[in-house]
Formats: sequence, C-alpha cells, structure tokens
Amino acid sequence: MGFFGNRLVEMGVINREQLAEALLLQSDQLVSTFEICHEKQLISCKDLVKAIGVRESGDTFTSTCNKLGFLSQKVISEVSEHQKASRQPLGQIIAETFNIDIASLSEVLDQQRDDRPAQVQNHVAEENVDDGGYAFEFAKVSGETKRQYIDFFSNEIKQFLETSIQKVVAQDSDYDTLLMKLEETLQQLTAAANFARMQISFTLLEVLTQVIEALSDDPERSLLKNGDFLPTRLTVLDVLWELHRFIEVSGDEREFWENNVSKGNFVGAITKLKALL
Amino acid sequence: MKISFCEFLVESGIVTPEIMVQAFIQQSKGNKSLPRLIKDNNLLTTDQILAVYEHQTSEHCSFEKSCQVLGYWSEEFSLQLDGIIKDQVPSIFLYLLKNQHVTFTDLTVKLDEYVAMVIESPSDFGIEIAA
Repeated sequence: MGFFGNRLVEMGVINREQLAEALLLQSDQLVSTFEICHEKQLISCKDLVKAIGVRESGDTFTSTCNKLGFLSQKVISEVSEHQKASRQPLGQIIAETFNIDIASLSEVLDQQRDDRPAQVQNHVAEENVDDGGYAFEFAKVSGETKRQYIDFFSNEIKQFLETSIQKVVAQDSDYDTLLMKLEETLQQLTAAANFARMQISFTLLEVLTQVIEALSDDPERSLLKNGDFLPTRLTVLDVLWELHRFIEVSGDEREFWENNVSKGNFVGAITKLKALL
Repeated sequence: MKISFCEFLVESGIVTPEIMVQAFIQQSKGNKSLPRLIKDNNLLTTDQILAVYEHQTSEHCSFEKSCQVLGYWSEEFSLQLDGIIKDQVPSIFLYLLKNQHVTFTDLTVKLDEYVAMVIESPSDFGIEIAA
C-alpha cells in the first residue's frame, strides 16, 4: 500500500473499508505468476503441471517453483516487475471506484514523498491559465511502458540530479565529471520519457538537457553567473517530480495538464529555463 | 514418487501438458483472487487484511507469506481456506470435461488407477497408515 493508502485514510479522503476494497480490486487484477511463466515460456508446460501438483497449502506458486529449481531469483524479479507493470495504480483504482478527485490524491502523495518545503510556486490563478502555446496529445500507451519511465525516474535519480546541479553551481572539484554524469543521466531520462510518450515531461527534459549541454560547451562557465541558474533548475526538477506523481496516480499526464496550477507551474518553469539559453 | 492426479493424467497421455496448463489458467481467471476469497468468507477482518497488505508492501513478499509472518495463517485457517476453495472454486476437471478435453469414462478409469497406485504405496503420497 506504500503507506499512501494509510495517508488517504488518515486525511479522511477514504475510509478503511474503501482502502481494503481498492487493494482487493488491485489483487483481483493481478496476472498470476503461473500465467506469466507460461506466456513468457519461462517454465515448460510439463514442469508447470508438476509445480501445481506439489504445491503445499500456504506456499506460493513462485516459492514452489523456486524450491523445485524451475525459477531463478532473477526470473522471479522479472515476473514480479511484469505483475507490477500490468496492474492499475492504487490511486487510479481509488479515484475511479470512489469518485475521488485525482488532485486530492496527488496532494497526499506530495505531502508523503517530499517533506521539503515545496519549491514549486503557484504562478497563476485557478482560471484562464496561459498554456504558453504548448498543446499536448495524450497517447494511449501500455501500463508497462509508463511504468518503465516511472521506475527509471526514481527518488534516487531525482536526488542525484538535485545534488549534482547544486555541486555544479558550486563549481565542485569534480565539476567536469559531474557535468558529464548529469548530461548522461538527463539524456537517458529524456529518452525514457520519449519512449513512454510522456510529452510534457519529455519537453521539459529536452530543454533541461540543452541547458546542461550548453554548460558543457561553455569553458568560461558564464551560465553559472546567472543568479537564476540554480533556482530555475530546482524548480524544473520539482515540476518533473510533480508530473511523475500525476503519472503514478492517474497513469498519464492528462490530469496534470488539466490542473491549472500544475499547467502554470510547467509554463513558468519552461519559460525560465529557456531564458537561460 | 508422489505425483498429483493432474500430472498422472498428463503422464498417461490422456491430456497434453499444454491443455492442462490452459485449464489451470482458465480456472484461475474465472475465480476470485486469494485475498478476495479470504475477505469475502470473513477469514480475516478488514484491519487484518490492511495489515497484510501493508506488510506485503514493506517487505515485498506474497500475500500468503505476509499472512504467515503476521500469524494469521494457522492450521485452522488453512483447513477453512481449503474447504472454501473446494466449495467455491470449480474443479479443474470440470473445465477439462466441459471443454471436451477428456471424457467422463477416461477420467473415472484414470482416477481408479490413481487411487490403486496410492493404496499400493501410501507413504509415497505422504499418507501414514495407522499400525
């Protein structure tokens, strides 16, 4: 439940019965290990039948196969990842089943994941938000594809980006190596967003990567003299993380774009970022 | 050596391994998930179910394992669950019969042979005979 469910109960968004029901619905959607092993031809049909036959009560199919030597730990992890990717996010189930506003769920995630004071500013009022000339289409992609981006853009990656940017601005002794790693990570992240067809994240990441590349081509490091450099980068990372939460909860970026505050955050961040170039 | 009746059917050539696997998949798709079965039959309370999910998430283990670690999967629980599964989950053999993968005659003949095999070597099937 990632404690996300508990937070929703604590905040009165849902009650315990509703949380249990949402988790049960998520379990109902789980593709069985048996089926995945068959589809991906990880275990022969003969061995699958054997494993079912010797399975003891309370033992999972996975552990039985492991005991029989049919599945290695590496394959078990792959199966588990496949299962995770194929099920709906808990937030999406809650939103659909109990008619809960996605923005409320995102707010809970926000409070849970990031104890730091929010650096993202609400740049605009609730209505008549300027979309900055950006128009996005939200293509249908598989849950697994989205999951790959979500998993790749982990909390560790986010922290690495923040720390690296701060060190680069401070012109740390490892400046060149840091810049190279930063550039490489951002390129991978941009490619992952592109592959997952997360257009808003991709757009922001593409410009952020251009700024870092510009810094690499700038031996005088003149970009760093711009006082807006650090705050702008951190704001961009916060918007990217906000997008990440929306994707995790609702499955895509549509809800982010339909939320005026979030849209305003994006337009504000990308405008400032482009001004650095 | 202990073999299940399903395996016996496969080894006897009555059903191919592929058809047996497909029958298991159909059986699993047409029935409730294990947590749902446990909740619907009040084997665990809502709070216990939530505790299991929370444990499962933090420890990255299966629902069954979390039930065991939290002390919910007792012998009595296991027996009750087995009874519920027998009552509520249609047998795999019904799928085989319904889809005409086996005939009723073949199935009963093979069941006879299987039972005879168990009687002949009960210990091979984990059955202890009282002295």
